[in-house]
Amino acid sequence: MNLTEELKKLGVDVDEGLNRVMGDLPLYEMMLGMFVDAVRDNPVSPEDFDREDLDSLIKRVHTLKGVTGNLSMTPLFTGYQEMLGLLRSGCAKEAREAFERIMPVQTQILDCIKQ
Amino acid sequence: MENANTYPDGQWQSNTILIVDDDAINRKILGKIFSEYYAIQEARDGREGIWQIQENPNRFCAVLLDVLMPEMNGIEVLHWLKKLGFLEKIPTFLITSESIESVMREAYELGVMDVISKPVISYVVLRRVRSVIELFEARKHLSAVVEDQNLKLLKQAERIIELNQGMIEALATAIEFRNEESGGHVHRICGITKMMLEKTAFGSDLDEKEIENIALASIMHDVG
Repeated sequence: MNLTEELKKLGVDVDEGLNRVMGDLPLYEMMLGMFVDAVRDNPVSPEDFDREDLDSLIKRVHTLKGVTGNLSMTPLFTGYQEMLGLLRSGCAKEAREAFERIMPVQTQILDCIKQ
Repeated sequence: MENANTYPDGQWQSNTILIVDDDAINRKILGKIFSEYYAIQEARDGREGIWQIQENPNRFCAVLLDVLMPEMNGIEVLHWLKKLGFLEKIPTFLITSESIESVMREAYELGVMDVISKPVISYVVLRRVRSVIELFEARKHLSAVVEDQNLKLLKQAERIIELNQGMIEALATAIEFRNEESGGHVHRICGITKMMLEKTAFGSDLDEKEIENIALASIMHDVG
């Protein structure tokens, strides 16, 4: 099974993501690699949600929301969007729960791309 | 792709879109969407974007601007562009995932052409941006054509005035010769009229152009 088919199984709307880049598959695949970099450069862990100052976390979550949205990684985009709303409303505990829900599928997507 | 095209009358048409966004993926996506029709230039934050516009404002046919950026955010960039008078010349669009009403209102009040949501839909952003670019270019071209036509009309008007003057003088001179009088009579009358208007109270309310016209009209005193 190739990369795009694997991603589709994980809930990524590959067709929408490809449409966004005018069907340029090599460009889309390059951007998948950039997603891996974005996750590395904007690390989020469950403990981050327990800190007092959440500004830095909000920025990282906002970035990841943007990246996953551009790549139509629907389960992740929805999760980060929910997290961002909760963090901005001061609901850090609920945001942490939302993060923990999407962690497994994010890990699977990352592993799929890295392979 | 060339950075500029010319209209049939030789005027330069700007053909570069400036994408201002701190996210490389966003810049790549927008660049891909528009690269078939325009040259693309990128800036990683607001400050760099303003610098590029100031360097060569005539180069850009549109600016696509993110809101949340380090150094200078999109709204701050809009304030600068408005202050420098660029928003009236270069259509500017906010491309943002933020839909905060106060931000959008401020952007529209400053003069942004459109606010487009992220993640973008390629055919939507392409159509919305291209339509406005085409309108701006058409308006610019039309202004240039009107200005050019005005200059031509002014030159023609001057030429007509010269021809009128020549015809009047020729007509008056012809009448004098028919009556066997000196051709110098016409010009003396014109000169005396002009002198009286310039040196006496008769011409105190007249400007230079009016005095010239009255002196010219005096040539016609013997016509008819």
